[in-house]
Amino acid sequence: MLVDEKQHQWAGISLAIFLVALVIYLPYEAGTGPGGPKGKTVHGLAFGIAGFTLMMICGLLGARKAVRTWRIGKAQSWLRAHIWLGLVSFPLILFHSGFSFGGGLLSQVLMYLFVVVLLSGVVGIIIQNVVPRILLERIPHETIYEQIPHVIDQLRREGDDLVEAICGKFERKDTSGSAGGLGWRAKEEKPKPVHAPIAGSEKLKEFYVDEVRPLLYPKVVGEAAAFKTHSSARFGRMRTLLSVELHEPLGDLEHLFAERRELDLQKKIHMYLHGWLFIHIPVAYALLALSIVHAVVSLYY
Amino acid sequence: MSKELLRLTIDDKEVSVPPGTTIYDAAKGNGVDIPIVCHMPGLDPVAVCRMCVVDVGARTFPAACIRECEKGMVVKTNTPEIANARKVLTELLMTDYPEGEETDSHVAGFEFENLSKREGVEPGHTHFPKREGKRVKDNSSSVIKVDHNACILCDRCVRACTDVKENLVIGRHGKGFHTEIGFDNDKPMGQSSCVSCGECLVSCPTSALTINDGGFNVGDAFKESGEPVHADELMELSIFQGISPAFLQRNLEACVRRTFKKGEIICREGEFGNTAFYLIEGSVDVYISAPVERQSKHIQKSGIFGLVSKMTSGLSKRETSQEDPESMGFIPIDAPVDLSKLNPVAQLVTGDLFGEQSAMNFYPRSATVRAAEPCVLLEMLRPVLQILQKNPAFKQEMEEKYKERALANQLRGMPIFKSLTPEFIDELREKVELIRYEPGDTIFSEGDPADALYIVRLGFVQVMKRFPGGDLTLAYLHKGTYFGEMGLLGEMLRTATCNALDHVEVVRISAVDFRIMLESFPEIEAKFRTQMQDREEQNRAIAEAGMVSDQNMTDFLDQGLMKAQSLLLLDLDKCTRCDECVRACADAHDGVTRLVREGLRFDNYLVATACRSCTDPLCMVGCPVGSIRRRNSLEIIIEDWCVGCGLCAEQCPYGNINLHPYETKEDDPDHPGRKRPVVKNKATSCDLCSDIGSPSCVYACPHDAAHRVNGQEFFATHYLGIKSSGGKEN
Repeated sequence: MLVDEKQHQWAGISLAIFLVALVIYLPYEAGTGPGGPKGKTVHGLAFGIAGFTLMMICGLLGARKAVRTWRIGKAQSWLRAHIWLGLVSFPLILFHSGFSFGGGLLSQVLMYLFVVVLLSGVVGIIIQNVVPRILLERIPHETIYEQIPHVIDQLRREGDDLVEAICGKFERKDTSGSAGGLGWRAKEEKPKPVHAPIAGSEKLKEFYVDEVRPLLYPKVVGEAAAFKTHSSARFGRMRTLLSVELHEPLGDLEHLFAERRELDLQKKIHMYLHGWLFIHIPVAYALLALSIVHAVVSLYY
Repeated sequence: MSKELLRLTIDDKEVSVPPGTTIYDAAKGNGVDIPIVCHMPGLDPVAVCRMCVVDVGARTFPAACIRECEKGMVVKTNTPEIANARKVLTELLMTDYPEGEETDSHVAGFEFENLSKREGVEPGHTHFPKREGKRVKDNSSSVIKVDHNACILCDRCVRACTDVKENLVIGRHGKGFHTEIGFDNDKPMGQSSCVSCGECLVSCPTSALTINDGGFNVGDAFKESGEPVHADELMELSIFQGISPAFLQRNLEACVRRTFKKGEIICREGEFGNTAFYLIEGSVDVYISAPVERQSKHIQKSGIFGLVSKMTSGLSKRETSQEDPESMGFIPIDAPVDLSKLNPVAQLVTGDLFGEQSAMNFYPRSATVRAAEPCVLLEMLRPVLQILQKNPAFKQEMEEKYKERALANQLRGMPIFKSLTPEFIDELREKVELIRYEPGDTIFSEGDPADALYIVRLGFVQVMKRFPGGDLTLAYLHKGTYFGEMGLLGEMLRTATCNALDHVEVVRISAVDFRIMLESFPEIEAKFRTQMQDREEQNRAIAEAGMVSDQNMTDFLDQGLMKAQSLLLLDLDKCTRCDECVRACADAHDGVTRLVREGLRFDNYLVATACRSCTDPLCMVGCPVGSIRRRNSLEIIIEDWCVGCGLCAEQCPYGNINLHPYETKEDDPDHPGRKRPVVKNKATSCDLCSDIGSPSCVYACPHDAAHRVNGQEFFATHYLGIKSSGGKEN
């Protein structure tokens, strides 16, 4: 979610909560003894309850997403609340602990988990503000993430057809397709007319079969990336070896390969865009669960 | 342009013609004959044969069919040079023309052959070498034979198919020397989408397109599906009385008698058919097996979530009027009866005709028909039906049946006429007229005097209006809808033009009877006036779109985005590709998403593949059961009685309608009386989640990236910098 002017409402509410808490905290902190504020005092307890309530509200975002058709406020409002209330809950918890990361083991773990959740969340916001624009600018042929393997298979078939039309038939060892992630199977296609090879096209076929085609598989990632670094030079060199009439198909192959590389890049960017959630979400749920334990233990004993 | 007549000389004859007249027309109008092959009245001239070359004193000989007359022009049509040029051209065209045994005996005397004889050129006697090898003959069509050897590529058939009938089937195929006419690019005629209208056949000046021997020659499958009938037997049926026996004899193969046992299925909903049935004996049940209330209107969940869901969806449910004046109380089908929504079953008896729309327009079957008792039917193909429709005896019989059985139901099924009393309907029955229109006919034009109200009984009517930016389609009307009321309620002038899109039949209620109706039933007048205000408002909105469309934004216009009333745009600057929109759509529609997060891009926006609620919804044309329609609000909805024929999905130019399978039961043909489980299809398109208040895709997007916008407002705001005037964005 972009941090823009639409955030002002929840940012204002969070700031207000923070200021009110600060106004209460400062005299409270000044009036406490040498050990500083503690969580077990009335003030400390109040800060703890308030902070925990905000954390729980933040945690409800996951539940909200599970009931997408419920008309209980737009998901974007929930996400804004999640971001800002999550941010303000941290100082409240600090007020609760008197800015101490010490105490019992559980308290320590809780504080460090909270830091991880907070930092991963902030990183997530930064990523969501930056990465979609990178995707937009650098991946003009972006496709649905789950369809990437299928599109790569499709690119290989296009490459095969292109080369066969110019260089004559060659053995396609995988005509059933290394079906993509969706279990897609190539339709039975009408046999395409076989043309006589254009003179001098052998080199183009060799180049395609030996160097380009092996990289037009969904599972090949590293090699494609490695090829990327000097692909322009390789295609350029091939251009010098081929007759002029073969430059156009070579250009088409280069374009096709560029598209394949784009899809690799899309996968990578997609991973950045969503990878932080693999830290943020489990740690946040662990934090909530341990916070409940902490509250029960503290209040009971 | 001056309207003064131009004076010129053609073959020493002084003639005067209006500016813009071609030399060919001027000559023809003044009794001077200029030979021509590629042109005929009703077609736009293209000057491909060059046979009409004339001498106007210029360096080259222009083609008279396209060259316009000029003041003082001296035209010579028959100089030795012209005659020589024409003869060479004729020889060139005649070089590959079939001769002797190569040609069919009955094709003598074709226009081109006569012309070439006049020029002294015979097939096989030209100075040019013939093509090696023969081109193919295509006998795949049951109606028309194609002989590519006789084709001179004059393009008359192409223009007849494209411009006159707008069927868009015939075109040129191949390049250079290998060029020939092609059907759907390069299919055998019989396998193409040709509707056998015959326009190409009557346009062809050669023997390239000829009628199949022995009159209407149908495939064996059709002939073997029933028993042959004799012309005498047909003449005994009342609907055939008055038809020429010679015609019946010629078209006997297009008619078979079929016998069905009780419970046997005669035709099935959703299947494509090209025949109509006339019940000679017995009765049949007509029904649709697509359950009318198959899908729940709200998301049904069990347990506590279901309870909360019901509560929460109720909180924000859109306020809908109790009565949607556009909605019908019945399901229109291709038969003289309609089906009730509550109990979609009806019975047809001896003398009823059904399947007319399928036979005439090649629409899918709108309902399943099952023999209610042993019955005998006459199954007929389009040529027979066409002749029947021109037969006064048949017309009268059908009109009487319609008035007697279907008119009252149709009127009562339309909410606006609900309060009509049976007595008034009886009175009206005697006065209404049934009028039939051919595809492309204009029912009335904008500005004409308003003299009647029309109710569509068969086919589709296009409503168009003139705007400064050009003509715009306001609506497509199907069976059970009405038009013409705005002129009658207003200034007695038509406010729009209405055209028949296919074979249309309308019920005409005269202005006098309409006035009497309104005076007798004031509540109907009130409803009409409310409806008129709504339509005026809608037209104004469309007009605004038309105004904006003059702007230069080719891509935006080319992709039809200007016609979109509700585009789903994803702001790719904000979208994290989390697919919450797709999941929300699936959650709101029984687990089947109606949007795909892929499509065109404009700037930083992705136009998702989801229904756009176009102002010109082509998808609505042809639905055999009228299940796809537009509410007064902008969304296009597909009702639950959709028979899954897929025509709407085919017609949507943007691929935004999909067919999804569901399980139901239907009659088992092997075991009459029993049902068997089957998987049927239903068309789905975005309904803007109108039942739960607002589009779920937008509501569930956590990143403020999904927006539903009006095409022209988006264009005005983002490309022209004009602030939106109250346009709502969801």
